Amino acid sequence: MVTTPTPYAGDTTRSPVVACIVGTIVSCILAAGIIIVHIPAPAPMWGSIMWVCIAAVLTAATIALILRKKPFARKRFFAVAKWVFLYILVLTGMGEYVMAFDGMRGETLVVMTVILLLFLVNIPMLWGFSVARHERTPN
Amino acid sequence: MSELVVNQAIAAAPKAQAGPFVPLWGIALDAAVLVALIVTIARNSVFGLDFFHVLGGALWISIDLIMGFIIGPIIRRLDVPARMVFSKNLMTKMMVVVPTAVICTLTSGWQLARLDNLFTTPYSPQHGWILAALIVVALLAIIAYVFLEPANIVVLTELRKPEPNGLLIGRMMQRFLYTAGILGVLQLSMIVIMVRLATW
Repeated sequence: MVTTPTPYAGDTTRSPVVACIVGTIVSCILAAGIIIVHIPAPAPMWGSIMWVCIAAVLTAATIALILRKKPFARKRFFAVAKWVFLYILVLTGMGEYVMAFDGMRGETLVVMTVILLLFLVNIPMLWGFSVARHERTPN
Repeated sequence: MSELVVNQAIAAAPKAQAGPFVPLWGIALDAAVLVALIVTIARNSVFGLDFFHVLGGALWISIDLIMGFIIGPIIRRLDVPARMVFSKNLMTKMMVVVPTAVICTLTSGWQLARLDNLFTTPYSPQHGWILAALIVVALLAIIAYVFLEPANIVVLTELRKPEPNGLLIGRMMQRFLYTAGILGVLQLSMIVIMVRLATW
């Protein structure tokens, strides 16, 4: 017998968690974009730093929202997130390697590293949450 | 009614299985490719970087176009059990190929642009085209990471359960196929940009 039970927490559409993570990703891309469009000239860093700060606040909000979510399939969330983390670690590691190899230093390198770290945290949370939000309520 | 049909299809489909999503040979292959990419970057080999960029880009663009415009419409026309079996096999292979192709394309492309002095020549005529390529990549990244891959993972996870949620699988497959189509359109614009840069 196959059933289609109610999902956890009724949070399968328009979740604030997903909205925060999408906001973070867009903020990170804007922060990196400001630096990239100015190449080879040095970019004014205040714009990138502002977007990175927005992304950091949204990330904190996402973590708080996930921690407060009950009931929530934490086991499933971490089962997915840990492998996605490994994949994104390789991806961001390649990015960091390329930036360091190309001689990027100073404030720019710090901002780009923070952007990569935010990606590293947010993408696993998004993929893990996407799966965990559809876990069923235990009978 | 449609829920009943989907549930019957799931009951007929192969049952849940344990083990990793991605086959171990796939992880080993990906690791070998990434090590080769790191060595190529460290050696500043133009041939190697071109090879990785062309091969990775060709794979990435072809997969997006084929998924969006050929496989997608075919899957939509299949009956539900066939669609589920096909999706299960396809998604697993996609998890092996696509992420590595994306990493190779982007990393080697960035290095090629650097070696071609596209980042050191102030306001070069190609600057606008490079920016356009970066904007398309940003859009591709947002769509792939926010919509396409989560749908892929949800389908894979659901298909491994003893009692998969048919409606959820159907919804996620729809999302996967639509976003693959959007990626296909974006990839067409990327082809135009890359051909323009290559024939400058």
